[in-house]
Amino acid sequence: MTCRETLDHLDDLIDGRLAAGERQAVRDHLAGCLPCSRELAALRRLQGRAAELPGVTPRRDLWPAIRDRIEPSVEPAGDGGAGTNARLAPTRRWWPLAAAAALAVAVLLPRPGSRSTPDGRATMRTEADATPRVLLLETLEARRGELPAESVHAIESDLEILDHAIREIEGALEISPQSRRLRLLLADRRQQEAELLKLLARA
Amino acid sequence: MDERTSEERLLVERASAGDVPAFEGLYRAHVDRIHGLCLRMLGDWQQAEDLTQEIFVKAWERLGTYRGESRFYTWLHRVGVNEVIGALRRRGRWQDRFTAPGDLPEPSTVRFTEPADGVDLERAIGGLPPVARMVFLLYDVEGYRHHEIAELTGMAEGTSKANLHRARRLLRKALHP
Repeated sequence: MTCRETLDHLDDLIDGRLAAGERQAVRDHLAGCLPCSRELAALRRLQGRAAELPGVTPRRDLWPAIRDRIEPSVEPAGDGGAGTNARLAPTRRWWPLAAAAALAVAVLLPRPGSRSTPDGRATMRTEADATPRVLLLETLEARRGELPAESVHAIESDLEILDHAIREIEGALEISPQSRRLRLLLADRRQQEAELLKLLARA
Repeated sequence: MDERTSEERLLVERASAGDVPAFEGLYRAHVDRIHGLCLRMLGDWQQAEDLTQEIFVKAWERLGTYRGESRFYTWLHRVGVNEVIGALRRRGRWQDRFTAPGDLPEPSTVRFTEPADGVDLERAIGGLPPVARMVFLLYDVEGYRHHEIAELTGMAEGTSKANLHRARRLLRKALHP
């Protein structure tokens, strides 16, 4: 077998597509031909590097846009019942919002002496811990009239969804308390809330 | 079944029942790999991000068709590959470039990993003709076989093999001129 023929068969060799006779002929040539052996080694390295190429993180978080597109498709029809993704009526919004915000700021501004379990889940928070969060929310509430109604609505909606997500993840954590992925997801949700509140505070 | 698989199955079950936060868990777990596929195939960050978004929306809509017979990522990846191929077709980069090597993206559009070795390879992949690049990515990066690539793309198996051969030769030349 010539070098040219061997090189033409290298792909099939590394992909395991050569019949026994051809495979042996290629190997016989490789045993006595350094350039062809080097080419085979290079191809194997290329294949190895390609298989190890990592994922690539998008430059922006795509989830909010995805969520906005998929949520209407699961919103309960008709009676507004409490389905998985049921939106809360406006009059019921404030308490979940406050609770979510309190949770978020707790993550953003950890205080000396605050307690958490080994897996990172927060334990009971004191009233003193909650005060700045409540003040922040009160400030935001006071500025409600200054901000465009659409923005307020969008932010409230996002916070509500995040609050719902946190409750869902906490529920899942009760089933799988050792789940690292769920804990990361929970921390991420809380961080998103914190970022949203920071954004609101700067608005 | 390991913890990760069990956890993913739980998330899939909840997402299939309409649980958006559970689907977000699946999104977070797989977005980088899906986006990496899109970016390498398309060579454009904006289009790759848009398509990644589209793929997850499609996956949500089709979750009911996932029967759990394969890993969730395998199913999701198949949804993604179909969308990418559809996007390439819509861009008109298909038949007319089946054999044409021209109109390669600028190297700067395909620089997205840190290690120098990886950057070289990413850049070289980005410089491949579109069909050769697609076949290389599907075969050597994503692990598809030629008959699967043929099924996905509609090209003959022999064409897939020829493009893989071409891609590897070009990459070898680009990396070690």
